[in-house]
Amino acid sequence: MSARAQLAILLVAAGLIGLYTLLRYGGHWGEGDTSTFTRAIRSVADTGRIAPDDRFVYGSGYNYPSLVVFLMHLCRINLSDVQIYAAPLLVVWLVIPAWLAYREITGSTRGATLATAILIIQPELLFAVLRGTHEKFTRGMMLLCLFLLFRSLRIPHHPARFTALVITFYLMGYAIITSNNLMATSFTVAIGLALVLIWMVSRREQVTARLSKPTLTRLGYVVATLLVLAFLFIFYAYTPAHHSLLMMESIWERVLSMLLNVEAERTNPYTIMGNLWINPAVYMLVSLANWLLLGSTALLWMGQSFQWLLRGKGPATTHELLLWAFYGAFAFQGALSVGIDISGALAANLQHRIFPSFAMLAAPIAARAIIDWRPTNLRIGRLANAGLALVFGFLTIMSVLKATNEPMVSNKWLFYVPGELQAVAWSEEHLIYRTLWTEFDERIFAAVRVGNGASDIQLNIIPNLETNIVRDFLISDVTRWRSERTGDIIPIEADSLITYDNGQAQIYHLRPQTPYQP
Amino acid sequence: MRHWYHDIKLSRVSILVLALVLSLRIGPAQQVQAAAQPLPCELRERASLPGRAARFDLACDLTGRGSLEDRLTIIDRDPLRASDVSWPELAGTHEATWIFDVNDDATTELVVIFRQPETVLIAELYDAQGDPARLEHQIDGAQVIFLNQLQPTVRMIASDGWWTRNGKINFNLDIAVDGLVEAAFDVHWALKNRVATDGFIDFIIRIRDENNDGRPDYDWRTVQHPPQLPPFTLPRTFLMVNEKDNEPPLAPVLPWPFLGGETYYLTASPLPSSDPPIQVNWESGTITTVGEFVRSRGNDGQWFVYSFEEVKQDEYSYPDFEAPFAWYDLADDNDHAPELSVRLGYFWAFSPVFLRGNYNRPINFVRYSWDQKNDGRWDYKLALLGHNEVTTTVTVDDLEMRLVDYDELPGWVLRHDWGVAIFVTSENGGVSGEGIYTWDAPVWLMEQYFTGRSDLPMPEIDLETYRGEDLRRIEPGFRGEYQLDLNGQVRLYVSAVDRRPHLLYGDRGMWNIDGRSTIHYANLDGDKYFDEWRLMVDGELVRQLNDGRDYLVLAENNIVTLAPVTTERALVELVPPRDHQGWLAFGKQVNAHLGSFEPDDFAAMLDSLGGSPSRIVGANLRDFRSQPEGFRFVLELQPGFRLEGAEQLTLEDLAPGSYVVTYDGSFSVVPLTPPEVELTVAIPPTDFSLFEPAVLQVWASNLGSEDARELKVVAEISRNGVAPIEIAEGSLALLAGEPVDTLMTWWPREAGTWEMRIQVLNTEGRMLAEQKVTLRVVESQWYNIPAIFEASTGLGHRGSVLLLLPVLALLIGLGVFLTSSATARRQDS
Repeated sequence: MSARAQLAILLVAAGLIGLYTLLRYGGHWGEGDTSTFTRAIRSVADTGRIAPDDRFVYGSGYNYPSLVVFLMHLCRINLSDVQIYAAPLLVVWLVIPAWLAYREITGSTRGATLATAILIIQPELLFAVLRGTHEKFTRGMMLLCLFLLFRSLRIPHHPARFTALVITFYLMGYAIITSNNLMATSFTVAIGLALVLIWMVSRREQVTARLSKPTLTRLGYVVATLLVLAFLFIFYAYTPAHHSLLMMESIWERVLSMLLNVEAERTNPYTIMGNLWINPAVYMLVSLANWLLLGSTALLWMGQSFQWLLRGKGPATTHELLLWAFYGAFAFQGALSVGIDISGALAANLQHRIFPSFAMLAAPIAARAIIDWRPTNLRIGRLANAGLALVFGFLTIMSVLKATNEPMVSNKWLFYVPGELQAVAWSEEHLIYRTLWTEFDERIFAAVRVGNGASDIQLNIIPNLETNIVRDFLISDVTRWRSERTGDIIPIEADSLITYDNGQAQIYHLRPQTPYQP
Repeated sequence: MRHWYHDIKLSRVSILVLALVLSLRIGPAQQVQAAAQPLPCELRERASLPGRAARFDLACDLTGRGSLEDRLTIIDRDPLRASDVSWPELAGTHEATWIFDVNDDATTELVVIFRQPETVLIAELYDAQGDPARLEHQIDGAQVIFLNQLQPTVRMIASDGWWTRNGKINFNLDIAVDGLVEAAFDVHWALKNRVATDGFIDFIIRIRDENNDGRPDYDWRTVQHPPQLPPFTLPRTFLMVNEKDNEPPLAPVLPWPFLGGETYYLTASPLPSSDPPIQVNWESGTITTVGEFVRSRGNDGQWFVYSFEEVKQDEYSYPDFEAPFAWYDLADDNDHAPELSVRLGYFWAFSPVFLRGNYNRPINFVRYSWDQKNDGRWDYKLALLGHNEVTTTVTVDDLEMRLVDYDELPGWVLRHDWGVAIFVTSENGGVSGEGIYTWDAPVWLMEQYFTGRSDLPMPEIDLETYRGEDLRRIEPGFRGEYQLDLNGQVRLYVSAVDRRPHLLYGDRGMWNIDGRSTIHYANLDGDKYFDEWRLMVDGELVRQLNDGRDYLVLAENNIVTLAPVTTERALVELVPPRDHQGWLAFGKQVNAHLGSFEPDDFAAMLDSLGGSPSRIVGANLRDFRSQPEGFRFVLELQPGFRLEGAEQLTLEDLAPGSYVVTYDGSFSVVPLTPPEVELTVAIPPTDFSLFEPAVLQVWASNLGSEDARELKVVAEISRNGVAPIEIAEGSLALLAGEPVDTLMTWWPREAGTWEMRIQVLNTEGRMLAEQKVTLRVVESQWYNIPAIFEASTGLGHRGSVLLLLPVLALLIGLGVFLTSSATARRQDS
């Protein structure tokens, strides 16, 4: 199969993933981070400034909001359409930088195709890039950076091309910084860790020493330059980034956020993963692609490390060395962040985003192993290939179900029914300045915000009861299903009044007990 | 998140300290400190310097130790030429540098550099901040050169070009403070470790004397909010305005009048004058305070605003929090001691400071205290909660604010309706401070009950350990009353019963006489006036007086007395004072009606009001309650009881025992019967669904004649031999003849047939009534996979969705197969 055909298959597959995401809920979905970004984009769109005063600003970077505003004007579509419809479909773009990078890393189109396929069926990554957030672009730019880095190390003796690649690399690096400075700094730190690993190996064996010398120098420049760029961005170019960092109470938290790409005040995935799915077995099934990738590549990497570090056999090429080192670096970051999370060393709950970065480097390792496996028995080989294809097919289905939070197996639902938003619209008109409870999490809240492009509304919609005066409750069929699924009690009283009913959703009002209750 | 306006309220200790300090300052002039005296200095050496400059070395007593052991060096670049000029005239303040060396030990504690670029005068103050090397310098001719890179801690600019002129001080000043200096009320704790003298200005201060009479008219301060702190942690604006233009004169201690030693004041310099506001701790060489030029407290014609919302120049502002806090000379005696203090606390709707921006109405919290005796101590206080929106504008120079005008404020308070009203009197001689703090509206009441979040006006807490304000207890010497649902204007009245001022439409109250004896008030019938007085001594009821409209009923020492009453219960209704005339009238009316009896002498109260009483000797009274047409109570006749005096009710032929006495125009006496509880439960005819609330209506009535006040209702469910699970518990008061009904809710989590048992128990746990009902809970109709799929997928997409996944899986699988197959290996890029 030609390279073009392989690429075409991947593009179509990515497009189908985006299309499935779109069709699954018919555009009736809302998600927390997407709604946050919608708000940030609204600030930029309304003011024409990347960091407007007195408006909500995404503290980690201005790239994505600016890009979306550009797309809105270019394509003449509104913000909610971009976030709801365009965002899942734009996942297609990720295939190109991934394929380019993996072709460079693995040295073959087949490796590129396989690695890209492995990548796009990783549910952790898929979930992140199907949303209306910066990640699909940031991850793509990271892959492009890898491509540029690896390519430039291969052609040092072509000055013009080398220079062009280096310049493009730093421009791309800065673009990542402007997209999410924490992701960028952790990426840079990973490069630094890779440098350390390469140095360790180079001490062990002469061939490696020869291969690694230019690499070490180059990586050193990369780390230093990117850190300088990040510093300038955080402390001078984009003051919201500085303020976000200052909001973290301790210097320890600030350092860790930059090293490990963590953001404060997020839910801890370890403690809630069991609650997010109908049972742990289902969770394991839908995230099987992650576990298989993690497990298989860990074994491969450790085997490789054993060969190089303990038996003195070195890598054959610079790319092989680099890939090994990058994998090790991201794996170390991931292990460190997990350890810190579990130890509770920090006051805030932190959510790491290392796994997608790790998957980006694990995919080519897995792909290489598949390609390099040459069974002597052709029949076994064919059977194995068929089995592999079946596994991939199965994993694709599982991963897409996870990435879309399929409500039949997930407890964290993203979709809404039109009646719910109609009820909110009614409340907006008739419950002015009141607070409306909208279920157990941000589902409706996010849907409203994304759906109306983060325009101001008078109504206060909240999922959290504790800190608000709530006398009005939006209860729908979906609410009842979720109540049954999770066992959460719907917080209304027996004598609550039904003040609105459109068939799909009702609004209940608690009877006032004092003169001060509405 | 903590609420900083609570922290702005002073702790008990600091209230005591502040009270102690202010007690020296509020009141007649003979109680205040003497004006400050200039610091003594003697010229030791004079030398000429290049150019016109001169150097003066003086020995001074900066710290007040009584000897001239400190050194002040003045480098004057444009000195007075006369040779006989002595201290303090020789001290230049236009082009000069002052170097303070406490103890004359060659370490510099403070340097003040005066400059005059063009027409303005600038003073820059550099302090050592405890570091002996910080202000190391060289003197090169007439220039003082610091060896370290320094920023001034305080920079003051007089744009008019003069500091003093013919004995008058210029109060048209702009001041920048850079560093951890006490320059605004109660922000020091938040700024610690977050600000430093680093070139970034932390406080911007503007002082103006608009009529140039040598007295400042307003003092406006803006705190630069550190970015590390969450927004709205600190008030941003501190604005003090003297309406009477009677700021006490500043008493300088140095030729430059604004600088002096520590007098530890920020908000009110001791009367009769004002100490220099820039205060230096000479020992450490630290500028500790820039006191208020216009005092926020300690005067009787000023107001101030401490606001989280910043007040900005040339921009319409919406100040909040203490907006304003004002002081009034109700006695019209110009003694600088206010007789009225009005604190209007205000948060706009959705203010981020109040309940994290989640409250959709404006909210006011008022403390309205007045000194009726004009002795410098507060006698009365109203604490009010309301939702009154401020709609008026106040202008101060170029500051335009949405604010209640100073002159209008007392009337504004008294004119508006309030939801919660609390009235407090200091019965033991008044208190000092900003007002009477006791029984300010408690935090829970304001944030939970008044906002509608909670049904409970008071939290369910252990009062023994709770340290905060609570309306279920009051400090000794204070009498407090409240009405939590007033929803009207606040007014007072003088009771004909006890001859004291009370809150009109008050609901409950108490007077803690001496820490052991407490009188509890209640308004049982919900009309305008209190009608029950109960004296508790060490927690035991000693005597009780009830006003039953036509009768007063007193119970004490085993005697129950009934006296007919025909007079009005209020001798006079009062408006709290808002001006001089009102203040005089209030005092006159209260004093005119004040009774001569002790507060706990209920018998004297009864005698002063009641007609011919009946005394039942050998009897006790309990469970007094009002009824629409009169009242009723339980009378316990002891063996040997007798009736004395007028025969208001007939007790002949009654044996000792318990009886219910009812008055509804005439008395009736019937034997008391114990509570007999009857319970009825109604359930809907249909089955209940899983996870839907099961609603049951419960009626309870007391068929006996004795009230049952402290009952408990418990609901349990069980099924198929499974141990009962308690699902609800509540308290219940069942008054004789007054049935109650309530709804109970149960959220079934499992389908099946359940048995619910509802019991009513007394305080000993004995069951008084029980009902059992059978409930059927069916599986929900809602929860099924196809329904979820249908609801979550758009109508036209279901087929596509079902098809896409396998197509996708096929595509990926095919691609992987073709790519990884043996034949594919022959192809490579």
